[in-house]
Amino acid sequence: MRSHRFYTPWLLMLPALIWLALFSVWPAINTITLSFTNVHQLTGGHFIGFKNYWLLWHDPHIRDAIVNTVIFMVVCVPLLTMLPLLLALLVQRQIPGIAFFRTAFYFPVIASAVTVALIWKWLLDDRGLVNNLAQSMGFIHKTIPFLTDRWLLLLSAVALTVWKGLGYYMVLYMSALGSVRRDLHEAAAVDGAGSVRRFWSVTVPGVRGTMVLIAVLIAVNAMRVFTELYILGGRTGGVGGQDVSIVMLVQQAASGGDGRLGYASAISVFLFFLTAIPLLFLTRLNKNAQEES
Amino acid sequence: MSATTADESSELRQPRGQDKPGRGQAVRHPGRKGRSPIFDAPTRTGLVFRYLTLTVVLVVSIGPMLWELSTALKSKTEDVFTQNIQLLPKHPTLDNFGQVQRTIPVWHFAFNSLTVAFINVAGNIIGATLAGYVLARLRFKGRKLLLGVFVSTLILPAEVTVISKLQFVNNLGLGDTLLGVCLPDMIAMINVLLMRNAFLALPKEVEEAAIIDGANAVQRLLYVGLPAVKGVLSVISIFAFIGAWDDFLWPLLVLQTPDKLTLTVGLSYLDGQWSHDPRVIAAGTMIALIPILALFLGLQRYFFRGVAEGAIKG
Amino acid sequence: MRRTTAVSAIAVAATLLAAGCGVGSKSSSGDSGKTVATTGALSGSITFQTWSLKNDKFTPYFTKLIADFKAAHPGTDVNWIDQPGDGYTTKVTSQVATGSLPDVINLPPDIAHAVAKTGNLLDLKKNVPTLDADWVKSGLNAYNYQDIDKAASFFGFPWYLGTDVSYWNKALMAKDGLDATKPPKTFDELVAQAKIMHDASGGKDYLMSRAPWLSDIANTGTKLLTDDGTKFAFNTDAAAAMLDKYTQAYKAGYLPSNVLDNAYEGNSALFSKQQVAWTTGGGNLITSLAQENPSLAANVVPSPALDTAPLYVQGLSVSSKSKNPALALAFAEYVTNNENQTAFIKLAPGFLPGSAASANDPAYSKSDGTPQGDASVIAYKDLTTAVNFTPPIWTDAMNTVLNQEIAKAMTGKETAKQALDNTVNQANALLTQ
Repeated sequence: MRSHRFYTPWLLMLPALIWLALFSVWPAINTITLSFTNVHQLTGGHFIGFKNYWLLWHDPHIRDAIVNTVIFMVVCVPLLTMLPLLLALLVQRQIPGIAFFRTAFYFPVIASAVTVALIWKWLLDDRGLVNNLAQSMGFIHKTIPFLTDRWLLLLSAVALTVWKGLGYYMVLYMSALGSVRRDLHEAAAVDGAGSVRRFWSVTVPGVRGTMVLIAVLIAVNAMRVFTELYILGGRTGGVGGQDVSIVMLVQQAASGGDGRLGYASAISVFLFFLTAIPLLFLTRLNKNAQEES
Repeated sequence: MSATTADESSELRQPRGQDKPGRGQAVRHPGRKGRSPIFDAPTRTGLVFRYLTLTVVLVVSIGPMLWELSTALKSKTEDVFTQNIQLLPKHPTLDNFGQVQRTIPVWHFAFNSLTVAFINVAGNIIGATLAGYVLARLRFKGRKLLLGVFVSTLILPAEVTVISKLQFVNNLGLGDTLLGVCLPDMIAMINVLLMRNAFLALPKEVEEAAIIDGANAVQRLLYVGLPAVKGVLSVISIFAFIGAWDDFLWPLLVLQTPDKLTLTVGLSYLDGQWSHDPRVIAAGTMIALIPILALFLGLQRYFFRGVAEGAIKG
Repeated sequence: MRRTTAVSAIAVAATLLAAGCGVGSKSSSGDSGKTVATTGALSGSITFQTWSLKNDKFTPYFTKLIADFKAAHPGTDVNWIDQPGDGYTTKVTSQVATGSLPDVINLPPDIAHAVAKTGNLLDLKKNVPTLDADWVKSGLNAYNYQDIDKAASFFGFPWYLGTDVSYWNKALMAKDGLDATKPPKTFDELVAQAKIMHDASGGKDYLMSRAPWLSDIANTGTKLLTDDGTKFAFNTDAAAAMLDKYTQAYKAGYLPSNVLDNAYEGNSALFSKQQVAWTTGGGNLITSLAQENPSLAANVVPSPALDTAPLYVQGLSVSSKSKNPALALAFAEYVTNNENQTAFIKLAPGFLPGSAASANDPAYSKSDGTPQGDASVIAYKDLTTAVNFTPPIWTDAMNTVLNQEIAKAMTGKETAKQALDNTVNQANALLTQ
């Protein structure tokens, strides 16, 4: 039995398809075209073949940018896939005042970058709260250079990302938990499964679709990391530019009245393909998991 | 457990007696390791532990907002940027809020922002629901390919997807209009994927029954699908609203006429080379936060509404 | 903070492409060289765009300015719009790309340079015979570009000029045995006093608060450009020696470590938090400090900038695509004439008008006795010798490279000479890309 006429799907999707074409596909084509030109911000340019890609290969910062970006993604994905789920479980039960907590946990997502920078620097500075506390408690004797050491800065940016992302992904998990079947939980409880086991055997499979989607979102956002590194490391990308990300290179290339748009587009195209790798991996992972279950 | 209200989430509506077999089981099966934090009635220690954890996360979460609020309440004689952060204003005052109102037509800007935000919410609810439903529940040729295209738009760096917006909007004659501000984000691809994901959770049997009853695709979407995805709908509403409300660059580029500005652009007039009072800027930020808070508080109780709830109501 | 620049940059490029004027065609040199007939009676309307000047302080001034103009020229109308401080380059760029550039625009020299290259700004030299006589020369020069028709054109009326003044935290210096009324006058004195401060406070207080920059290189007597002005050549021994001194000071702990990443806060933010006792800033810094940290503002003592002071210029440009160029030109001249500039500067302490007649006005050399008044006088005196260090061909991307290389040198990852060589090479490479 046919459940619908052949044109129904297309008719229903029409608005989304129009937006997809106008605001996603067409821009992508444009960027690819631009990446083969030397167009600048305001002045025109002409076709230069693969020169931008050649320049990218020889860019003194591209290696650092790739390393940083990939590390960033590899650390962020597991952290931000699991922690928000636990947080969503924590706020799931309707106890007095829970609305307030749910709302407050979302604050980091909407806090302005200026304020976030101010508070985080106040925490991590050489004279910051963390260093002061650690010193006064005698854990350390020298200050920890959170904001000037190459790897510590990267880790601090990861922490900032997790902090900012918790509330966002928590909300997504909240809506997914509504589809976890209560009777499965109860059956498992009757079978004597503890809360940890029920978490892995009931909750996680119940939200698996959302979890994969969230992992994809985190991976994509991590590959596009900019704000967090910028907040802590400045526009140069840390001391000497070792903490640059790929998008930071895009930004540096394109900014100002004389920005090099062709080159910025080439970096963007490169980033697109680089991001496709973890994405394919995650989709494959999901497929395997589906086949197993 | 306190008396339930109509709005509390489903697990609370279970009769208390249901917890008892669970406890009994615990006695009969000593192997049972723990209590479910979700379904078992909270014990006193459990509740204390829960509130303790909530409070720890709370402290971590609200720092910047507290600082901003405290700055907004500080009087002109108090220092703002100090080595050690002063959270309690010594002479709290509401003057800064008054100054925001005197400097810019903040309510007018807020109205413009609300217009944009609501159009965006409506567009996303309609567009993403329709497309999400089709991608999740209807079989047709090219579905997999199309899904791939939707996913790959996620990869496009945001830097890239803005590419032709300005040109389109200007060519459509929508430059310097609020509709032009709304346009690009009226249907966000990520929301389509979220809605698809939500519809996937719907059990096949329910829909098959509807097909046998003779319901067409639209009827199934409205009467079978929608009730099961209220949670995700409320989430994408929040995302669409906040996205539109907080956006700065796009409205700045589209708009030209002063009385059409959105709130975020308007507020940036408080932060200039010549007058840069962090207290007034913070007060402006606090005003801009109110609608987000109101919406979030209003919608958060729906977040957990999903398929399971529908099934229980059966 | 948003990824504004990159986003918009690409957006604009796409627009250029789609409009068919980008790839493959050199941008039209436009109508910048045309002459505007200014003899007839003025009529019609224009749009006038300022940058971050619509606020309690300046709105009444502009309202009156425009009303007076309209009264003098009946039948004309001026539509004043103001852009917020954030994202101005992007906004102007998008205006150029979509053909909606206002008739009279407030542009700093670097943005004006990018716009002038596209032929969208009117050459004032051709249209205003009294240009050299009526406006300050140093200000005019900032709108004169070597890479555009061999620097024959001038693209902006100097409007208001600023410079950097040194500011000292009196209380902090006194605590460590320094006297803010006898501040360092040269870089070497600065290092010497920084050492005193460092030693007296056990390394807790800092005097020096920023890494060197282009202006510091220029102040060593190094010419930034080759003689023909087409390439960078500031990798001199003098510049390397200067950078070495900074490196040693940094190693000795005279500078806070966070000056190197050029992150979110500049040296004035460190000054606000009283982490450092010295900062540089515009002539009105005390006024804005008084808004942020009133208790600190009382402790601030100004002094002239070390070495040659930098010159910052704001100007008014006229769009060459204006539909009413005669009115636009007349209005731009009117706003920047001596009388109106003088009235404007009364509202902006620490700045100076860009009109030539004001340079000898004794009113600016008298302080009212307040620290802000002193700072204004210092700024006024320095402005006669101040230099605009930034060559027009210097871009944001080059600035990033310079900051990165200087940080590498100061942390000992490479020598000063290597850092400067790298910067010059990369900057020269960027010129051709």
